[in-house]
Amino acid sequence: MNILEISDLTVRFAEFLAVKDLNLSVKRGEILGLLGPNGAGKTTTIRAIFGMVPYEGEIRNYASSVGWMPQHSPLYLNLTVEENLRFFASLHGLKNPKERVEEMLRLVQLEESRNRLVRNLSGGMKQRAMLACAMIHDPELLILDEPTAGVDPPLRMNFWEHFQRLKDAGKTILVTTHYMDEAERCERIVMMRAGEKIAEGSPEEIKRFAGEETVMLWVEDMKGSFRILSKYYDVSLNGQISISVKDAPSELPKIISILEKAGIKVLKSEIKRPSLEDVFLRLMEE
Amino acid sequence: MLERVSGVFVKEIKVIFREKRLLAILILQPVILVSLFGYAFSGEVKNIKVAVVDEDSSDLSEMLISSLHSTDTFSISYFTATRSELMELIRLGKVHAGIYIPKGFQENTNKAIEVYVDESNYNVAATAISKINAMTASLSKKFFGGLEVEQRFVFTTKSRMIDFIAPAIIGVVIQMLTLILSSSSISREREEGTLELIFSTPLSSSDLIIGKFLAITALITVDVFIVVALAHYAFDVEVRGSLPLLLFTQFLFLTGTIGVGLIISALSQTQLQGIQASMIFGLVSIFLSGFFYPLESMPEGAKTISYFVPLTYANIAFREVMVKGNGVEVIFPQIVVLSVYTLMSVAGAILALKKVMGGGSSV
Ligand SMILES: Nc1ncnc2c1ncn2[C@@H]1O[C@H](COP(=O)(O)OP(=O)(O)OP(=O)(O)O)[C@@H](O)[C@H]1O
Ligand SMILES: [Mg+2]
Repeated sequence: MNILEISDLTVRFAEFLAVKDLNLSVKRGEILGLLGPNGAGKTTTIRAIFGMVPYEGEIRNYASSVGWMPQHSPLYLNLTVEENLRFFASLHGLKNPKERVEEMLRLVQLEESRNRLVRNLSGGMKQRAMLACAMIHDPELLILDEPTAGVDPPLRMNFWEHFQRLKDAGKTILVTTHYMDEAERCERIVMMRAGEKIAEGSPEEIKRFAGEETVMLWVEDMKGSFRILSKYYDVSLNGQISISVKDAPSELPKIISILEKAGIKVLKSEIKRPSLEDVFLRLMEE
Repeated sequence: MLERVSGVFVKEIKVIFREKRLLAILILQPVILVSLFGYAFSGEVKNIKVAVVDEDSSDLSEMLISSLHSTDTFSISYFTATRSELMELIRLGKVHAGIYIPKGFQENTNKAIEVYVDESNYNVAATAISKINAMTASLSKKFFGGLEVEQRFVFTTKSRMIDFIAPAIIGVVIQMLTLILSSSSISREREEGTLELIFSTPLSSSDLIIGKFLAITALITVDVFIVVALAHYAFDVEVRGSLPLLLFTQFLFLTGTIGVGLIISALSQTQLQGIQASMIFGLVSIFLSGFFYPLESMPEGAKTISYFVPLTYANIAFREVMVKGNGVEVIFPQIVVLSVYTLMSVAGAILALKKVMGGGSSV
């Protein structure tokens, strides 16, 4: 079921703990988003997966092939896009690289720039070239460290559509990002801060887990309602009544019945959920 | 394995060819260095001032003095009465060489003439000694004939410094270029982040080392041809022995040095570290290889270290082939040592890289 299992991963740089007791598993066929502020330990975790830093703990990999797109797209600057692709094809021992190289060039829309030195590409184009190199051998598990950093919005859409297609084809993706709209597209999210995992789940679960939801009410007697509800809830008045609760859908009927018992009629009610961004910001502040 | 090694090979060659600075070093450096050494050492030294003490006043000493007169290598500036006067003249810089012909030189075959030279100018000194040797050699043939005289005068017909020093220069130049290319090769990839990336693929340490090794070998082999051709055609350096044998030993020498450079590179964190470490290795090699002092006169400790320096063996082998015209039967030990050196250093580089890259990835 799991394609990658990380247990009790700890990475130290001298005295500094970059990753602390991290437990993380990637399920076969999912897109898992790894989120966290700068310095949270995302890249370090990925480098540990590839054995590039000494670590404690255990990392088990069940994928037959893995592709890696590192954070800063370290390609050979003095080779052309196509030469880089061919080189990586040879490292993976691809028997017939020509077709695959063409396919990748088309995918990342670099056919026209195939003969340009990577040195002379724009930042986003470098990212695209890097992605193509990471996928040249059609890996089962794709590990992408901020693949869309510096990529323009239409192409960012393209990237994610492609990730979705890969997932549909049964591939697994572990991706880090600072974009919340991208995080929303992941099936599961792991949030890290200061080397530790602080939340895990689907975007929905994360929002529920971390974020307070808000029930908003429009009533006839604002003052009266406020007085009554304040006994039970955390209420504020701002044009309407806002009540912070953990689970709004289940609290809403209770709130309405309290008010009805007091003879106050509820004109309109609304439930407001926090965005992932709200949750992210709140979690990072804690 | 084969695809990966050849992939690395092709990539290395391309990368180096696109690096204009590196390419310039590879092509210009041997030309500049050999030309520099060539001009410094190849000109025939003329009109060396000499002082002569003739205590023998014999036919033989007369002949020697007249042959000194007849060559334009020397000009006799002083005749002095004693050896100490002669030495004083050299000390004062009035003459660069002095020739002392002892009493009984003609009669007694055990008596040898003494040649004193001003050591402060190596080039002049070497020319003076070799020329006088040559002259006495031809004299001894004329005057005595036969074999016993050969023993009396040690001689060589070489009269140009460059012929003695060219083998060492070639070794030093090749070593320098090889180290420049190999010692930053891996550390550079580490700095630029490509090393981690390629090690996340099925690439192994030996694939990378062998690919790089072959690419650098191919490039430096071209340099060997440049160096030898330049020395030969521009400066008339003679190769008395077999040219293929010379090229073969140079090839062995450069492969061993690449191995060392790759070990250094695998263990360095940055390109600068790699260059610095290889410069130390290069300088130590030059000092201990017999370039400046003969091996025999080195202190024991230094001599021991010099056995670990490939340049030591290269110098001997090059000199035997180029100057003495000896063949494989003489330099066989050097060939064996250099071959073992190559094998060990390349294996060492593979192990070093394996160690620092943690034996590859966990995926
Ligand atoms: N080689 C290293 N030596 C020392 N400290 C390091 C090293 N690599 C990373 N660190 C430290 O470990 C911490 C985690 O870094 P990491 O690169 O994993 O963060 P990240 O989550 O990827 O951040 P970002 O979002 O900026 O990419 C940082 O404080 C960083 O300074
Ligand atoms: Mg990072």
